[in-house]
Amino acid sequence: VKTIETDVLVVGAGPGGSTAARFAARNGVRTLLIEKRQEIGSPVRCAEGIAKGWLEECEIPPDPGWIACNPEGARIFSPDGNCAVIGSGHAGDEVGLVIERTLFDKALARLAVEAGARILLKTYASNVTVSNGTVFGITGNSMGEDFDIRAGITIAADGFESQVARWAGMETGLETCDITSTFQYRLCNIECNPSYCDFYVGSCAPGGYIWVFPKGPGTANVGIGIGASRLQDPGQVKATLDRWIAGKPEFSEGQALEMVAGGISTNKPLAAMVSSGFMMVGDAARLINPLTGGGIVNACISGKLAGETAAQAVKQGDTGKIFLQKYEQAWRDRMQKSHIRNWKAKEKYNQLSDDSFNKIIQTLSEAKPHANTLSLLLALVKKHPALVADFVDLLWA
Amino acid sequence: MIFNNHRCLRCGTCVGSCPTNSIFLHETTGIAFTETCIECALCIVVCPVGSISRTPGTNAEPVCRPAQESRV
Repeated sequence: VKTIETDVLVVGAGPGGSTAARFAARNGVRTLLIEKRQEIGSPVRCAEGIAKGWLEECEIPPDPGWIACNPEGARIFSPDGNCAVIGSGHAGDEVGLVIERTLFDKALARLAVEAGARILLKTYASNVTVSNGTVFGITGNSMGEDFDIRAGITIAADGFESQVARWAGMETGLETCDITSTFQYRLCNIECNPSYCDFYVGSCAPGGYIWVFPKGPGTANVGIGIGASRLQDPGQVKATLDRWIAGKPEFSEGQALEMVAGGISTNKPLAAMVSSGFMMVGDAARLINPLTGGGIVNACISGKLAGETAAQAVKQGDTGKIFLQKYEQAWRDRMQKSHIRNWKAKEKYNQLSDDSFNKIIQTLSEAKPHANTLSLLLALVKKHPALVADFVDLLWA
Repeated sequence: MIFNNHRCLRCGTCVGSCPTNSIFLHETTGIAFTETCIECALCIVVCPVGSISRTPGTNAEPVCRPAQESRV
Protein backbone atom coordinates (compact mmCIF):
# COMPACT_ATOMS: atom_id res chain seq x y z
CA VAL A 1 0.00 0.00 0.00
CA LYS A 2 1.30 3.41 -1.00
CA THR A 3 2.24 5.69 1.89
CA ILE A 4 2.26 9.48 1.83
CA GLU A 5 4.03 11.43 4.56
CA THR A 6 3.17 14.93 5.68
CA ASP A 7 3.48 17.12 8.74
CA VAL A 8 -0.15 18.22 8.85
CA LEU A 9 -3.06 16.37 7.26
CA VAL A 10 -6.43 18.14 6.96
CA VAL A 11 -9.45 15.97 6.17
CA GLY A 12 -12.13 17.95 4.35
CA ALA A 13 -11.76 21.05 2.16
CA GLY A 14 -14.66 23.16 3.42
CA PRO A 15 -14.04 26.60 4.92
CA GLY A 16 -12.65 25.16 8.19
CA GLY A 17 -10.31 22.68 6.51
CA SER A 18 -8.98 25.09 3.91
CA THR A 19 -8.37 27.76 6.54
CA ALA A 20 -6.58 25.28 8.82
CA ALA A 21 -4.45 24.15 5.88
CA ARG A 22 -3.61 27.74 4.93
CA PHE A 23 -2.47 28.78 8.39
CA ALA A 24 -0.46 25.58 8.87
CA ALA A 25 1.23 25.83 5.47
CA ARG A 26 2.08 29.51 5.71
CA ASN A 27 3.97 28.78 8.92
CA GLY A 28 6.28 26.52 7.03
CA VAL A 29 5.16 22.94 7.59
CA ARG A 30 4.25 20.36 4.94
CA THR A 31 0.45 20.42 4.68
CA LEU A 32 -1.86 18.09 2.78
CA LEU A 33 -5.59 18.82 2.35
CA ILE A 34 -7.78 15.92 1.24
CA GLU A 35 -11.32 16.20 -0.11
CA LYS A 36 -13.58 13.23 -0.77
CA ARG A 37 -15.49 14.91 -3.58
CA GLN A 38 -14.26 15.71 -7.06
CA GLU A 39 -14.95 19.40 -6.68
CA ILE A 40 -14.33 21.71 -3.74
CA GLY A 41 -17.46 23.63 -2.72
CA SER A 42 -19.93 21.28 -4.35
CA PRO A 43 -22.60 20.27 -3.62
CA VAL A 44 -23.56 23.32 -1.56
CA ARG A 45 -25.08 22.47 1.81
CA CYS A 46 -25.55 25.93 3.22
CA ALA A 47 -27.94 28.89 3.39
CA GLU A 48 -24.95 31.02 2.32
CA GLY A 49 -25.50 34.01 4.61
CA ILE A 50 -22.43 35.27 6.47
CA ALA A 51 -21.49 38.25 8.61
CA LYS A 52 -18.78 40.56 7.31
CA GLY A 53 -16.90 41.60 10.44
CA TRP A 54 -14.73 38.51 10.86
CA LEU A 55 -13.35 38.21 7.32
CA GLU A 56 -10.40 40.45 8.09
CA GLU A 57 -9.47 38.43 11.18
CA CYS A 58 -9.19 35.36 8.97
CA GLU A 59 -7.43 37.33 6.23
CA ILE A 60 -10.11 36.60 3.65
CA PRO A 61 -10.27 39.49 1.16
CA PRO A 62 -13.90 40.06 0.09
CA ASP A 63 -14.17 39.20 -3.59
CA PRO A 64 -17.10 40.14 -5.87
CA GLY A 65 -16.49 36.72 -7.46
CA TRP A 66 -18.07 34.94 -4.49
CA ILE A 67 -20.43 37.63 -3.21
CA ALA A 68 -23.93 36.97 -4.58
CA CYS A 69 -25.76 39.73 -2.77
CA ASN A 70 -24.95 42.50 -0.32
CA PRO A 71 -28.21 43.10 1.56
CA GLU A 72 -28.63 46.20 3.69
CA GLY A 73 -30.15 44.33 6.60
CA ALA A 74 -32.35 41.58 7.98
CA ARG A 75 -36.10 41.41 8.47
CA ILE A 76 -37.57 39.21 11.16
CA PHE A 77 -41.20 38.26 10.60
CA SER A 78 -43.50 37.33 13.47
CA PRO A 79 -46.20 34.67 13.21
CA ASP A 80 -48.84 37.44 12.86
CA GLY A 81 -47.00 39.03 9.93
CA ASN A 82 -45.25 42.00 11.54
CA CYS A 83 -41.66 42.57 10.68
CA ALA A 84 -38.71 44.10 12.48
CA VAL A 85 -35.90 45.50 10.37
CA ILE A 86 -32.34 45.28 11.57
CA GLY A 87 -29.56 47.12 9.74
CA SER A 88 -26.73 44.86 8.69
CA GLY A 89 -24.33 46.75 10.93
CA HIS A 90 -26.37 45.54 13.88
CA ALA A 91 -27.49 42.13 12.78
CA GLY A 92 -24.74 40.52 14.79
CA ASP A 93 -23.49 37.26 13.43
CA GLU A 94 -26.51 36.57 11.28
CA VAL A 95 -26.25 38.44 8.02
CA GLY A 96 -24.10 40.78 6.04
CA LEU A 97 -23.38 39.02 2.80
CA VAL A 98 -25.00 36.28 0.80
CA ILE A 99 -22.26 34.30 -0.89
CA GLU A 100 -21.72 31.61 -3.53
CA ARG A 101 -20.32 28.71 -1.55
CA THR A 102 -19.08 26.85 -4.63
CA LEU A 103 -16.81 29.83 -5.36
CA PHE A 104 -16.11 30.87 -1.75
CA ASP A 105 -14.86 27.40 -0.83
CA LYS A 106 -12.63 27.32 -3.89
CA ALA A 107 -11.26 30.77 -3.03
CA LEU A 108 -10.32 29.57 0.47
CA ALA A 109 -8.71 26.43 -0.93
CA ARG A 110 -6.76 28.57 -3.38
CA LEU A 111 -5.50 30.70 -0.47
CA ALA A 112 -4.34 27.49 1.20
CA VAL A 113 -2.50 26.42 -1.94
CA GLU A 114 -0.88 29.83 -2.31
CA ALA A 115 0.35 29.45 1.27
CA GLY A 116 1.98 26.14 0.31
CA ALA A 117 -0.64 23.45 0.97
CA ARG A 118 -1.23 20.55 -1.43
CA ILE A 119 -4.66 19.19 -2.30
CA LEU A 120 -5.82 15.68 -3.17
CA LEU A 121 -9.36 15.47 -4.58
CA LYS A 122 -11.61 12.41 -4.60
CA THR A 123 -9.65 11.19 -1.63
CA TYR A 124 -11.36 9.96 1.49
CA ALA A 125 -10.36 8.63 4.89
CA SER A 126 -11.70 5.22 5.84
CA ASN A 127 -10.09 5.04 9.26
CA VAL A 128 -7.71 6.79 11.60
CA THR A 129 -4.35 5.25 12.52
CA VAL A 130 -4.14 5.27 16.31
CA SER A 131 -1.44 3.81 18.51
CA ASN A 132 -1.33 4.19 22.28
CA GLY A 133 -3.86 7.00 22.11
CA THR A 134 -1.89 8.99 19.55
CA VAL A 135 -3.20 9.63 16.03
CA PHE A 136 -0.59 9.05 13.29
CA GLY A 137 -2.68 9.77 10.20
CA ILE A 138 -5.31 7.89 8.27
CA THR A 139 -5.89 5.00 5.95
CA GLY A 140 -7.91 5.89 2.92
CA ASN A 141 -8.46 5.80 -0.78
CA SER A 142 -7.52 8.22 -3.54
CA MET A 143 -9.11 7.83 -6.98
CA GLY A 144 -9.78 4.17 -6.28
CA GLU A 145 -6.35 3.37 -4.89
CA ASP A 146 -5.89 2.41 -1.23
CA PHE A 147 -3.16 4.26 0.60
CA ASP A 148 -1.92 5.39 4.02
CA ILE A 149 -1.16 8.94 5.05
CA ARG A 150 1.27 9.33 7.94
CA ALA A 151 0.97 12.74 9.56
CA GLY A 152 2.34 14.44 12.65
CA ILE A 153 -1.03 16.05 13.15
CA THR A 154 -4.38 15.07 11.68
CA ILE A 155 -7.06 17.77 11.59
CA ALA A 156 -10.67 16.61 11.24
CA ALA A 157 -12.63 19.10 9.15
CA ASP A 158 -15.16 16.64 7.78
CA GLY A 159 -18.31 18.41 8.80
CA PHE A 160 -21.42 17.59 10.82
CA GLU A 161 -21.25 13.91 9.91
CA SER A 162 -17.59 13.69 10.94
CA GLN A 163 -16.40 10.12 11.15
CA VAL A 164 -12.75 11.05 11.58
CA ALA A 165 -13.39 12.56 15.02
CA ARG A 166 -15.28 9.47 16.14
CA TRP A 167 -12.61 7.10 14.82
CA ALA A 168 -10.06 9.12 16.77
CA GLY A 169 -12.05 8.38 19.91
CA MET A 170 -13.39 11.89 20.46
CA GLU A 171 -16.70 12.35 22.26
CA THR A 172 -18.86 14.23 19.75
CA GLY A 173 -22.29 12.71 20.50
CA LEU A 174 -25.22 15.10 20.57
CA GLU A 175 -28.38 15.25 22.63
CA THR A 176 -31.54 15.24 20.51
CA CYS A 177 -32.32 18.75 21.75
CA ASP A 178 -28.99 19.96 20.33
CA ILE A 179 -29.67 18.81 16.76
CA THR A 180 -31.49 20.78 14.06
CA SER A 181 -32.55 19.25 10.77
CA THR A 182 -32.61 21.55 7.77
CA PHE A 183 -33.87 21.57 4.20
CA GLN A 184 -33.55 24.26 1.55
CA TYR A 185 -34.51 25.04 -2.03
CA ARG A 186 -32.84 27.51 -4.31
CA LEU A 187 -35.98 29.00 -5.80
CA CYS A 188 -35.98 31.01 -9.01
CA ASN A 189 -38.76 32.97 -10.67
CA ILE A 190 -39.98 34.35 -7.34
CA GLU A 191 -40.61 37.79 -5.94
CA CYS A 192 -37.99 38.56 -3.32
CA ASN A 193 -36.35 41.70 -1.97
CA PRO A 194 -32.59 41.69 -2.60
CA SER A 195 -32.13 44.31 0.14
CA TYR A 196 -32.95 41.96 3.00
CA CYS A 197 -32.27 38.54 4.41
CA ASP A 198 -35.62 37.44 5.81
CA PHE A 199 -36.26 35.28 8.87
CA TYR A 200 -39.63 33.83 9.85
CA VAL A 201 -39.92 32.73 13.49
CA GLY A 202 -42.50 30.89 15.57
CA SER A 203 -44.51 27.74 15.04
CA CYS A 204 -43.83 27.77 11.28
CA ALA A 205 -40.45 26.24 12.25
CA PRO A 206 -40.48 24.86 15.81
CA GLY A 207 -37.07 25.20 17.46
CA GLY A 208 -35.67 26.89 14.36
CA TYR A 209 -36.73 29.35 11.68
CA ILE A 210 -37.46 29.73 7.99
CA TRP A 211 -35.05 31.84 5.96
CA VAL A 212 -35.22 33.60 2.60
CA PHE A 213 -31.78 34.78 1.56
CA PRO A 214 -31.67 36.62 -1.79
CA LYS A 215 -29.15 35.25 -4.28
CA GLY A 216 -29.89 37.61 -7.17
CA PRO A 217 -32.84 38.86 -9.22
CA GLY A 218 -35.87 36.67 -8.51
CA THR A 219 -33.75 33.98 -6.86
CA ALA A 220 -33.31 33.08 -3.21
CA ASN A 221 -32.29 30.32 -0.85
CA VAL A 222 -35.52 29.40 0.92
CA GLY A 223 -34.97 26.99 3.74
CA ILE A 224 -36.12 25.70 7.10
CA GLY A 225 -34.53 24.36 10.25
CA ILE A 226 -36.55 22.44 12.85
CA GLY A 227 -35.25 21.22 16.21
CA ALA A 228 -34.93 17.42 16.23
CA SER A 229 -36.79 17.16 19.53
CA ARG A 230 -39.78 18.83 17.87
CA LEU A 231 -39.92 16.37 14.97
CA GLN A 232 -42.40 13.51 14.89
CA ASP A 233 -43.07 12.42 11.33
CA PRO A 234 -40.75 11.12 8.61
CA GLY A 235 -40.03 13.81 6.04
CA GLN A 236 -41.55 16.50 8.26
CA VAL A 237 -38.80 19.05 7.59
CA LYS A 238 -39.29 19.15 3.82
CA ALA A 239 -43.05 18.80 4.11
CA THR A 240 -43.27 21.77 6.50
CA LEU A 241 -41.27 23.99 4.14
CA ASP A 242 -43.33 22.84 1.15
CA ARG A 243 -46.56 23.79 2.93
CA TRP A 244 -45.15 27.17 3.95
CA ILE A 245 -43.97 27.97 0.43
CA ALA A 246 -47.35 26.93 -1.01
CA GLY A 247 -49.01 29.55 1.21
CA LYS A 248 -46.84 32.41 -0.05
CA PRO A 249 -48.20 34.18 -3.17
CA GLU A 250 -44.75 35.65 -3.92
CA PHE A 251 -43.39 32.13 -4.43
CA SER A 252 -46.33 30.78 -6.43
CA GLU A 253 -44.46 30.80 -9.77
CA GLY A 254 -41.18 29.62 -8.21
CA GLN A 255 -39.28 26.54 -9.29
CA ALA A 256 -36.39 24.92 -7.48
CA LEU A 257 -32.97 24.93 -9.13
CA GLU A 258 -31.43 22.94 -6.32
CA MET A 259 -32.40 21.25 -3.08
CA VAL A 260 -30.07 20.66 -0.20
CA ALA A 261 -30.33 19.36 3.34
CA GLY A 262 -28.14 18.99 6.34
CA GLY A 263 -27.79 18.55 10.08
CA ILE A 264 -26.78 21.34 12.42
CA SER A 265 -25.45 20.96 15.95
CA THR A 266 -26.68 23.50 18.51
CA ASN A 267 -24.79 22.24 21.54
CA LYS A 268 -22.57 23.78 24.19
CA PRO A 269 -18.82 23.55 23.45
CA LEU A 270 -17.37 20.05 23.60
CA ALA A 271 -15.22 19.03 26.56
CA ALA A 272 -12.26 18.32 24.28
CA MET A 273 -11.34 19.26 20.73
CA VAL A 274 -7.85 17.73 20.60
CA SER A 275 -5.98 14.58 21.49
CA SER A 276 -2.40 13.52 20.79
CA GLY A 277 -1.66 14.15 17.13
CA PHE A 278 -5.26 15.15 16.51
CA MET A 279 -7.40 18.27 16.32
CA MET A 280 -10.87 19.05 15.03
CA VAL A 281 -12.35 22.24 13.65
CA GLY A 282 -15.63 23.72 12.44
CA ASP A 283 -18.78 21.61 12.17
CA ALA A 284 -16.73 18.47 12.93
CA ALA A 285 -15.88 20.04 16.31
CA ARG A 286 -19.56 20.97 16.80
CA LEU A 287 -18.67 24.65 16.57
CA ILE A 288 -21.85 25.92 14.93
CA ASN A 289 -23.52 29.00 16.40
CA PRO A 290 -26.30 27.33 18.42
CA LEU A 291 -28.71 30.25 18.00
CA THR A 292 -28.37 31.04 14.30
CA GLY A 293 -27.05 27.76 12.94
CA GLY A 294 -24.26 29.66 11.19
CA GLY A 295 -21.10 27.60 10.82
CA ILE A 296 -18.71 29.40 8.48
CA VAL A 297 -17.37 32.01 10.91
CA ASN A 298 -16.70 29.39 13.57
CA ALA A 299 -15.15 27.06 11.03
CA CYS A 300 -12.72 29.66 9.70
CA ILE A 301 -11.72 31.06 13.08
CA SER A 302 -11.22 27.59 14.57
CA GLY A 303 -9.37 26.58 11.39
CA LYS A 304 -7.02 29.51 11.68
CA LEU A 305 -6.28 28.84 15.35
CA ALA A 306 -5.82 25.10 14.75
CA GLY A 307 -3.55 25.63 11.73
CA GLU A 308 -1.33 28.03 13.63
CA THR A 309 -1.02 25.70 16.61
CA ALA A 310 -0.40 22.70 14.37
CA ALA A 311 2.51 24.44 12.65
CA GLN A 312 4.02 25.47 15.99
CA ALA A 313 3.68 21.95 17.32
CA VAL A 314 5.39 20.38 14.30
CA LYS A 315 8.23 22.89 14.39
CA GLN A 316 8.79 22.32 18.09
CA GLY A 317 8.59 18.56 17.67
CA ASP A 318 5.78 18.22 20.19
CA THR A 319 2.44 17.08 18.78
CA GLY A 320 1.15 15.76 22.10
CA LYS A 321 -2.24 16.54 23.54
CA ILE A 322 -0.94 19.11 26.04
CA PHE A 323 0.70 21.19 23.32
CA LEU A 324 -2.31 20.95 21.00
CA GLN A 325 -4.53 22.18 23.81
CA LYS A 326 -3.09 25.60 23.00
CA TYR A 327 -5.51 25.58 20.10
CA GLU A 328 -8.39 24.59 22.29
CA GLN A 329 -7.55 27.31 24.78
CA ALA A 330 -7.18 29.91 22.03
CA TRP A 331 -10.62 28.94 20.73
CA ARG A 332 -12.15 29.13 24.20
CA ASP A 333 -10.58 32.55 24.80
CA ARG A 334 -11.89 33.81 21.49
CA MET A 335 -15.30 32.17 21.13
CA GLN A 336 -16.49 30.20 24.15
CA LYS A 337 -18.25 33.00 25.99
CA SER A 338 -20.40 34.00 23.02
CA HIS A 339 -20.98 30.35 22.10
CA ILE A 340 -22.40 29.58 25.53
CA ARG A 341 -24.45 32.77 25.50
CA ASN A 342 -25.90 31.79 22.14
CA TRP A 343 -26.66 28.30 23.42
CA LYS A 344 -28.55 29.77 26.38
CA ALA A 345 -30.37 32.13 24.03
CA LYS A 346 -31.35 29.16 21.88
CA GLU A 347 -32.81 27.39 24.90
CA LYS A 348 -34.93 30.49 25.67
CA TYR A 349 -35.83 31.01 22.02
CA ASN A 350 -37.14 27.46 21.80
CA GLN A 351 -39.55 28.15 24.66
CA LEU A 352 -41.13 31.27 23.14
CA SER A 353 -44.74 31.03 22.08
CA ASP A 354 -46.11 32.60 18.93
CA ASP A 355 -47.74 35.20 21.16
CA SER A 356 -44.36 36.12 22.66
CA PHE A 357 -42.76 36.36 19.22
CA ASN A 358 -45.64 38.62 18.12
CA LYS A 359 -45.13 40.95 21.10
CA ILE A 360 -41.36 41.12 20.71
CA ILE A 361 -41.43 41.81 17.00
CA GLN A 362 -44.30 44.29 17.31
CA THR A 363 -42.15 46.27 19.76
CA LEU A 364 -39.04 46.03 17.61
CA SER A 365 -40.98 47.10 14.52
CA GLU A 366 -42.08 50.29 16.28
CA ALA A 367 -38.49 51.27 16.96
CA LYS A 368 -36.90 53.50 14.38
CA PRO A 369 -35.32 51.64 11.48
CA HIS A 370 -31.70 50.66 11.89
CA ALA A 371 -31.77 51.38 15.58
CA ASN A 372 -28.92 49.69 17.38
CA THR A 373 -29.31 46.54 19.41
CA LEU A 374 -29.21 48.34 22.76
CA SER A 375 -31.98 50.79 21.91
CA LEU A 376 -34.11 47.90 20.63
CA LEU A 377 -33.62 46.05 23.88
CA LEU A 378 -34.46 49.12 25.94
CA ALA A 379 -37.68 49.53 23.96
CA LEU A 380 -38.52 45.91 24.69
CA VAL A 381 -37.80 46.20 28.41
CA LYS A 382 -40.05 49.23 28.62
CA LYS A 383 -42.98 47.62 26.88
CA HIS A 384 -42.82 43.98 27.96
CA PRO A 385 -40.84 43.78 31.19
CA ALA A 386 -42.12 40.29 32.02
CA LEU A 387 -41.11 38.95 28.63
CA VAL A 388 -37.67 40.41 28.85
CA ALA A 389 -36.95 39.38 32.43
CA ASP A 390 -36.27 35.92 31.13
CA PHE A 391 -33.52 37.20 28.90
CA VAL A 392 -31.79 39.56 31.27
CA ASP A 393 -29.32 36.97 32.54
CA LEU A 394 -28.30 36.39 28.95
CA LEU A 395 -27.61 39.99 28.18
CA TRP A 396 -25.18 40.34 31.03
CA ALA A 397 -23.73 36.85 30.78
CA MET B 1 -34.28 0.30 9.37
CA ILE B 2 -35.45 0.54 5.77
CA PHE B 3 -33.73 3.07 3.58
CA ASN B 4 -35.02 4.65 0.36
CA ASN B 5 -31.92 5.39 -1.69
CA HIS B 6 -33.87 7.19 -4.40
CA ARG B 7 -35.04 9.85 -1.98
CA CYS B 8 -31.73 10.29 -0.07
CA LEU B 9 -29.82 13.54 -0.66
CA ARG B 10 -26.57 12.26 0.95
CA CYS B 11 -26.75 15.16 3.38
CA GLY B 12 -25.37 13.25 6.38
CA THR B 13 -27.93 14.54 8.89
CA CYS B 14 -28.68 10.99 10.05
CA VAL B 15 -24.98 10.11 10.25
CA GLY B 16 -24.06 13.04 12.47
CA SER B 17 -27.15 12.62 14.65
CA CYS B 18 -27.00 8.86 15.29
CA PRO B 19 -26.41 8.29 19.02
CA THR B 20 -24.73 4.93 18.47
CA ASN B 21 -22.70 5.91 15.39
CA SER B 22 -24.43 3.18 13.44
CA ILE B 23 -24.95 4.94 10.11
CA PHE B 24 -22.34 5.51 7.44
CA LEU B 25 -22.43 7.36 4.16
CA HIS B 26 -21.95 4.70 1.54
CA GLU B 27 -20.70 5.39 -1.96
CA THR B 28 -23.25 3.37 -3.87
CA THR B 29 -26.13 2.76 -1.49
CA GLY B 30 -26.35 6.27 0.05
CA ILE B 31 -26.19 5.18 3.66
CA ALA B 32 -25.63 1.90 5.46
CA PHE B 33 -26.58 0.75 8.95
CA THR B 34 -24.31 -1.31 11.19
CA GLU B 35 -25.33 -3.98 13.67
CA THR B 36 -25.01 -1.53 16.54
CA CYS B 37 -28.26 0.22 15.49
CA ILE B 38 -30.71 0.24 18.40
CA GLU B 39 -33.73 1.23 16.26
CA CYS B 40 -34.13 4.43 18.27
CA ALA B 41 -35.62 6.04 15.17
CA LEU B 42 -33.95 9.41 15.57
CA CYS B 43 -32.70 9.07 11.99
CA ILE B 44 -36.28 8.62 10.79
CA VAL B 45 -37.34 12.02 12.09
CA VAL B 46 -34.15 13.99 11.44
CA CYS B 47 -34.00 12.88 7.80
CA PRO B 48 -35.33 16.04 6.12
CA VAL B 49 -36.85 14.14 3.20
CA GLY B 50 -38.18 11.01 4.91
CA SER B 51 -35.87 8.49 3.29
CA ILE B 52 -35.70 6.19 6.32
CA SER B 53 -38.50 4.12 7.82
CA ARG B 54 -38.80 1.46 10.47
CA THR B 55 -38.30 -2.20 9.69
CA PRO B 56 -41.76 -3.85 9.86
CA GLY B 57 -42.13 -6.06 12.89
CA THR B 58 -39.80 -4.12 15.13
CA ASN B 59 -41.57 -2.48 17.98
CA ALA B 60 -39.02 -0.19 19.55
CA GLU B 61 -41.28 2.59 20.71
CA PRO B 62 -39.80 6.04 21.03
CA VAL B 63 -39.52 8.23 17.97
CA CYS B 64 -38.37 11.27 19.92
CA ARG B 65 -36.99 10.45 23.29
CA PRO B 66 -36.09 12.81 26.11
CA ALA B 67 -32.66 14.29 25.55
CA GLN B 68 -30.86 12.40 28.30
CA GLU B 69 -31.89 9.01 27.03
CA SER B 70 -30.76 9.65 23.49
CA ARG B 71 -27.12 9.37 24.40
CA VAL B 72 -25.41 6.02 24.57
